[in-house]
Amino acid sequence: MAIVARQLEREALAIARSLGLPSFQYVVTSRILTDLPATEVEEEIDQVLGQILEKLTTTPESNSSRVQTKAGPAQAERFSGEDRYDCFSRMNEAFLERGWGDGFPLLPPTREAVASMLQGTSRTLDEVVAVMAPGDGMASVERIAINAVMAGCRAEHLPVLLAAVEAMTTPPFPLRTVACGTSPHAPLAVVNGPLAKRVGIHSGRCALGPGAPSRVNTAIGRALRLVMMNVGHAYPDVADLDTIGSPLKYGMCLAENEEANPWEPYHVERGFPREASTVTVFGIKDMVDMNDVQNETAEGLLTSYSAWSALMGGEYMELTKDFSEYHGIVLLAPDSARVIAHDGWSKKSIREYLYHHSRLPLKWLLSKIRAMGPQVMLPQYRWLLDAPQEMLFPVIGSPEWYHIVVAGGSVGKSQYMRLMGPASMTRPIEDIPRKNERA
Amino acid sequence: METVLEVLNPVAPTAGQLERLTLVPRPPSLQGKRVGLYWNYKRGGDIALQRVGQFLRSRFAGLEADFLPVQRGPQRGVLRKLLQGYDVVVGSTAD
Repeated sequence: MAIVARQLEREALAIARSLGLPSFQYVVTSRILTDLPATEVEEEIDQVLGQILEKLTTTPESNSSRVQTKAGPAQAERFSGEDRYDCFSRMNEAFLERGWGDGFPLLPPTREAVASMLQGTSRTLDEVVAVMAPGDGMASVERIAINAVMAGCRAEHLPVLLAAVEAMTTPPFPLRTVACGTSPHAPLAVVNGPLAKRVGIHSGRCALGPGAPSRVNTAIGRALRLVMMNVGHAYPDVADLDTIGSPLKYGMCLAENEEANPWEPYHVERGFPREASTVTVFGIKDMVDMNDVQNETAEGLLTSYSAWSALMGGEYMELTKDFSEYHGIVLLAPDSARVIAHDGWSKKSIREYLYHHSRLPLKWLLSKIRAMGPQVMLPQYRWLLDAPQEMLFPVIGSPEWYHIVVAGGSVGKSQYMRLMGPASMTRPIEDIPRKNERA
Repeated sequence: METVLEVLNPVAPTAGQLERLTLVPRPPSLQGKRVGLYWNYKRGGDIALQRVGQFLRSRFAGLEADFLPVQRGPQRGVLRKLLQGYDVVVGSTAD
């Protein structure tokens, strides 16, 4: 059984039902425990101890049953109206009211549109790509294709989306946390290889949008969000418990600017041949503009970047028994990449420099962990609680936790993004030659 | 003349819609039983569970209550193995 705060009871029941537990057993506290002092947590629990005991010693009726054997094809629904636009409006109103959209108008997933979308893959429409957290949704090719239509994707974008779903449903990507957390996590899909340009995924100026140059990026990023909601059941205020939200969650996708990359592309670092096309999904927490167009040396630029990386701070959960890794991604503008490479620096040396120079005083970094109590820290790190608290400490756990992707236009303004956990596995994209592919 | 637009449902069925699970039978008494107190590292949950453990130990002779802090997002297999051997488990995520 579980202890659930009243304010989150609806979400707990939704998750339990999606996991096959309509008879989920729980007790309800009147307040959320996370922000309460210890004495008030105990007061809340004292109110429900009797109920806890009853739940632990009384077996309610429940029956296992297999309701369906497979996901099955999608059901159709009809919307009537005075004309096509009226029908479209009614469909949108219904879908948005049910929570099936992101707030923007949705393209209608007609049978014809979905059939056309499915031309983009050789996979069968009933193939289940993954079982998707948090709701254990059956991510069939057909369901993903329907959401891709709604987002404005074309058939040639579907393989990217399928590979991205595979990537984010494979550990170590922390999908459940990215989908449900109370922080504003959002997926960023980074595409590498020749397919990116062929299907129109932008790698240059305004690659993360908005506008015409990145319209394909926008559609794919949006589709990924719709899949998280309608397939993974990460609906806002139901399973997505993000406190404030973020515009990053509408969707993020870009291609690495491999032409401007003076080193090996990201996917080659991950073990793929250069000619392969791949997608990697990162769970983004937040981002900052690294605005340094003055420095003309690698060390100067990376000193500035270390300051921004430090400014964003660290989570330090790898010091605790939770042992969560919190990585970072540097979206390196082409001009900055050129300057750094010209001075003879490799990606490895960039990572090392950032790791050693992105530091903050221990007292700031351990504030959160100190509030949790020393028992949460791994024994080998507890000495840090007694170390001089003005000591500077790296904000990230290892140089290898910095990911470097070259992207963007010609002015040297890079970006740094903190991640919720490590990056996903990099997945290959099915590459089907198609007639009339448009860039 | 009325126009009709037919569209397909984008929502995937969940594993829970495909198969419903039976609840594990509860013991009629916790005397001599092993209780797992599952915590996901969210602040407050540990205090809540320690209180529950304290209460149960005071009520039932021979009861063992083990505090189980678990890395967030564990794999199902890991969780199943961890919780084997416990007669009942109380979980708290604190938020």
